[in-house]
Amino acid sequence: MHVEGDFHVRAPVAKVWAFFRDPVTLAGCLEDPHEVHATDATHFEGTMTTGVAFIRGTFRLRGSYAAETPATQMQVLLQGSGMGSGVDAALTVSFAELPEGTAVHWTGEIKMSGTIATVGERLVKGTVDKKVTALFAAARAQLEPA
Amino acid sequence: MATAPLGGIGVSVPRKEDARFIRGKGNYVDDVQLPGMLFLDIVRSPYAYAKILAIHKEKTLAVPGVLAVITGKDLEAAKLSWMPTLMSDTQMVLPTDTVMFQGQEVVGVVATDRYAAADGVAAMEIDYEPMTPVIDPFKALDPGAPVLRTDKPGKKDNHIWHWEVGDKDGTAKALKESDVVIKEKIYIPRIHVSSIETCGCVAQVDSMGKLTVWLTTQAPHAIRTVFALVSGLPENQIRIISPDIGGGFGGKVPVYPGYVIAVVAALTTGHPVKFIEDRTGNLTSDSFARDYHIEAEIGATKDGRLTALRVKTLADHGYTDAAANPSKFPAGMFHVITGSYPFKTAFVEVDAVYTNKPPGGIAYRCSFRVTEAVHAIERLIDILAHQLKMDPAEFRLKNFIPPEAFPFPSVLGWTYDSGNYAGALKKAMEIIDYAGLRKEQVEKRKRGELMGIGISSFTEIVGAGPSKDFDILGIKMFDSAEVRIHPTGKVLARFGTKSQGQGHETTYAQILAEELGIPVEGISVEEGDTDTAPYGLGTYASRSTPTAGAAAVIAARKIREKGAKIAAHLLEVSPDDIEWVDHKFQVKGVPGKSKTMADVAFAAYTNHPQGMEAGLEAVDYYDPPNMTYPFGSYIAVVDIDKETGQIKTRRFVAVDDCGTIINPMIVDGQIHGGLTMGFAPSMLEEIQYDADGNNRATSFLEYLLPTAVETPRWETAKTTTPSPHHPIGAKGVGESATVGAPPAFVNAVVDALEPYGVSNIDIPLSSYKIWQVIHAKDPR
Repeated sequence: MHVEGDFHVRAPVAKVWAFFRDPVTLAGCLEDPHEVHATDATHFEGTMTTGVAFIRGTFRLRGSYAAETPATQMQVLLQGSGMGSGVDAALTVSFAELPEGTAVHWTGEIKMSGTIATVGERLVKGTVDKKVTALFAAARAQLEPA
Repeated sequence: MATAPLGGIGVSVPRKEDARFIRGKGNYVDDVQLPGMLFLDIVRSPYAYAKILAIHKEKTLAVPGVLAVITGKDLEAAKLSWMPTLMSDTQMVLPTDTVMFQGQEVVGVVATDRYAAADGVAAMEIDYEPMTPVIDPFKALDPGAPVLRTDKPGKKDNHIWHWEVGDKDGTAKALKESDVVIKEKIYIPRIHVSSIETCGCVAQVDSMGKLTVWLTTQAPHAIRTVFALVSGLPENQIRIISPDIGGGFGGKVPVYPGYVIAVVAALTTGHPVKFIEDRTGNLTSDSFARDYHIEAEIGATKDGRLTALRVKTLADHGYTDAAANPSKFPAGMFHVITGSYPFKTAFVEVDAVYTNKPPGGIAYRCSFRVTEAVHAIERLIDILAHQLKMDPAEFRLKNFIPPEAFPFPSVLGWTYDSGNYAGALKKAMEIIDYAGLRKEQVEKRKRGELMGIGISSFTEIVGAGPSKDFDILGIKMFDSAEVRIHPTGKVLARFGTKSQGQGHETTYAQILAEELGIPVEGISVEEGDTDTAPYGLGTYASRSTPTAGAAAVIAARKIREKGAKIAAHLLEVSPDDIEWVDHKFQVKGVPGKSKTMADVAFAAYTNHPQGMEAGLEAVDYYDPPNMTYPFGSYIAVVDIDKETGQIKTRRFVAVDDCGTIINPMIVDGQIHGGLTMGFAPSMLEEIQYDADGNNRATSFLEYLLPTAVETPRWETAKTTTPSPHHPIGAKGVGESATVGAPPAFVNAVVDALEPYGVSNIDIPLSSYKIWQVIHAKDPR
């Protein structure tokens, strides 16, 4: 499943980069119950309790940062499993300085297996879009000056 | 034939077993409750092909109520991580390092209750390294394709076996010399039996070390033998009890990993262990049916006489061949594909291949690949008739094997016992007013309306089988009956078969009522307990009446032989002067001087001749001399909505011939159920996999079963052509309708779409597929 989107925030690019580069801080913007911790400088893992359609439960997450160009681009690799399902995501996140802040563009592919793969893609995509929108709203609240 | 009060052959006796079923008093595996019973649930693979890097048990074991976690490594230590399939292949009980299909059993979790077991499953953490799965069976045979069964030493490809029958060169020559040859590719997709009751078991080890397993199995004796071979337990220390079963249809013949894990759990914990699949587990991991990719050529003379048939098929068996075919016939009875027609030459070859899908190859209410065969031949006949510009009914009538040709030796090796194919088709044509429908179709086509008429004149092959040709894992496919008459003239009869809803308790009792002259209500039938029933190969492939039903007749006649001697003793005449007339022993020529079987039974225990063994019972292990060949002709009439592609089945007439009919009501029930199970894959059912090996039908939200709303109204009729070799002339009927119905639907739909020039549409005939045909191009 292809995902892509943009996010504009009134904050300097260095601050936004640092925010996205910290998995614990970024995960703090998730609306679903979760627990995430870094295992080394580029790896993190944790759990998230979430649901898509009738599939609800806890996913075990493992992730890493790769192919980083500081303040410009990063690749985030995510692997999740649980509830008889598997999720593999490879996301490329790009950062560009704007006159009044930073533009963040993300694009990538999410591969699903198991029970979750039987749910219609439109339904899954709708859920992903909703959660990403909520995540960036929370991120914006933290990044932008009050 | 019996009088109605006796309830013998030909009487629509109400089903004896329904007294408990319709009141919710059936006793199924999940009804078994034992003190201290534990529950097993299973962690399944989300990936179609992946390495197992690590299994983290800690969080599962921390769930309150979870007592044990069983992995492939645990089983490997006990040499139980693999088991044989019924096709002498091997199947993982639990994997040690690699998962081979999505939904595969990976870890067993044992807990004090079902909910704790499920929580334990949810808490399980497994690290996988996904690999690119092999999903397309054709690509699986590519030279560079990953070899899936690396567990098999020296295995260098994904090819399982090649099987062929017939005259290859002669068929090629005949096709070359034919005036008309058509070639068609037909795919029969994967489907699932979807019994309302999923599979499961309760395993218990008693204080003497005896293992008892209550099991959803259609073949309890064969399963006991497999359990003995796998576990090393002495067979006398294993008891399999198959209680009431909520539908089998072939899906409850194999041994599934969950059964073995439950037994291991019972042996290791010392507690009884229950395992009941949930629906997703059932749909994603139990054996599938069909999945045949068929490419066929059929030839004829220009005046419409069939000449030759050549068929090449690729069979997708998933990661192991877990079919339940007879050893000699790895593609089952697919070579009945010459159907109802006297081909002079034919050649059939089948290649089986491994892919990253669940084990496939079970029958699903068809006698070992007969559905695939019948679908192919009945489609080809229609396509050829169209090519020759002949009416498909006329073409069939011109080419049928004539009644006087029976017993008919088919060119591919079968000997059809009896048949009157033209009689069945003509009857169906008369009931449906075939000529009138064709006239109506002409008028509708002028108006641009889409109406189609489809015929299927099938020949089934059931009753496996003669021991010279049929065995499973070396066990010959006989079946058995043990009949005991009590002093008061009541009967207890036990069989090696196992009913899953077919009504054996009634039909076997009717056979015995007819043969013994004892009313059907005085006859009790028992099956499914290996400690009490005689050994048999079980119920599948419509084999019960042809085998165990015949055994009941022979056992009853053995009893009558002894009974005649007792009657002679009671009547003070020579045994030679006794004859069996009107369901009693009578002195020849003296109708007033007779004894009933009840009189004789009482004497067998109280006043038997000196020197004769007391009691009145017999057992028979029946080895049928041939298969039986039920047949029929079905005609479907459909109307298609051009805007939506929706198919409406206006009428469906089914004329069946299963030889002597034991209980007309039960036969009608079998045919109604079979037709619905033929309608389902024709229109709705299919298990699809995406490129990653994800099963796209893991619940009844996606795997569509027909309800009463979708199911057409069936019109049924019969002809009767007894089997010459069965002791009462009966043939099996459980699967005829499932086998015969799909090509009738497809032929009708393709006929309706004739203006669009389409020759074949693979099932299921979804509205979208039909809409695509209609909108692909303008009608000619």
